Amino acid sequence: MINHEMDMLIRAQNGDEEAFTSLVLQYQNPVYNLCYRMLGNAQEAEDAAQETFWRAFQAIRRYDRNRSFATWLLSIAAHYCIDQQRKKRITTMEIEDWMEEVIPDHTPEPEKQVRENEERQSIQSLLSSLNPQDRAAVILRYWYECSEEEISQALQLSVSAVKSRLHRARLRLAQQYQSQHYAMTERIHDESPAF
Amino acid sequence: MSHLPFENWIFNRENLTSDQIAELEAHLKSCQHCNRIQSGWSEVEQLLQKPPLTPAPPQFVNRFQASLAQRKALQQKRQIRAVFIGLGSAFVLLSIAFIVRLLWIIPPAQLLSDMIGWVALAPQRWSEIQYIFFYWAGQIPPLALMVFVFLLAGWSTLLLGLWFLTLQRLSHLGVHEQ
Repeated sequence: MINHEMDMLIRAQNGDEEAFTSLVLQYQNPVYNLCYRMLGNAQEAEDAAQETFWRAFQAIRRYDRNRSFATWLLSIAAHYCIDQQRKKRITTMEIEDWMEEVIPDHTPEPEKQVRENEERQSIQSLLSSLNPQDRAAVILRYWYECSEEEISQALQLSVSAVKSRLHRARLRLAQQYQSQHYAMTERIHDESPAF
Repeated sequence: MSHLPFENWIFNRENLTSDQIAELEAHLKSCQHCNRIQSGWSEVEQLLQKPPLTPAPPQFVNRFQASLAQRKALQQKRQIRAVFIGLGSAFVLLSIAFIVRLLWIIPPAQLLSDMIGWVALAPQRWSEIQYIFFYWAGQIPPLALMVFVFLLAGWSTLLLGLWFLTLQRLSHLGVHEQ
């Protein structure tokens, strides 16, 4: 670890808020990016990143300096986002159930909207097909180049569990990409003029 | 058809031996399932080669500083409230226990008459206490009285200061987890 960063960490652990703010400045982008990739929404990602730093501020005295600070922070962010995803899934399911019961579907051309979204958010839509923990493992692996050991520390899983989650996620991403690609090709065929 | 270990090999090509790569290629020619996974993964892998890092929005740190001050103030307020509620509850519980114990020893009618008697005699008792105090104050040399008052005030101030310090420390406990 760089001496300056270690100095900031020691000062932050002794209650220096300025030192902690400089750590926020340094790590804002990786933490925000992880939250954005996990949640897929800019506002929710900012809220999650702010919450991550607040939790880190509260727990900074318990941080073990022998561990990587980045991994520790990303671990807090990943756990928070996984919890948010679980809560959101429950709420969304409840709202969807309620809407199915009371509100008729009047969405004009839903297929067109779906197609536009598909074109704009290829990575994000692929990521959203994964369950929160698998998604966190993929993000840590490919965006942050974390080793399987580091991912296991961040997500509090065994290394074999991380391997299995990464395998499952890669398989799911490959299948998802194929099915999206296949669906798009089918649509292009269907919409092309007859010769 | 079994797709193992070929499914695993597709995702770990960099760790395969040349024989395993040849075996995988042969399998891919005959297996449509694995072939689809292979082509899907190669596309996804390209997307994941250099995934873009989304930067934090502008003024993120300023907003963090502002929210930090707010959250700290809110948490300290909650902590102080919790301390006072705790102390108040303890006082109420002790009072209830004391009353119950008192009613257990003395019959309620006698307790009521004793209390009325005590209240009725309170002004007389107060004047007696005042008389005793001023009598003894007149007996003690003025310098000794001044020292006594000074010591009493000093100890009271010290104890009050310690009490406030303890409350303040308790109110900060929630902000930093120990």
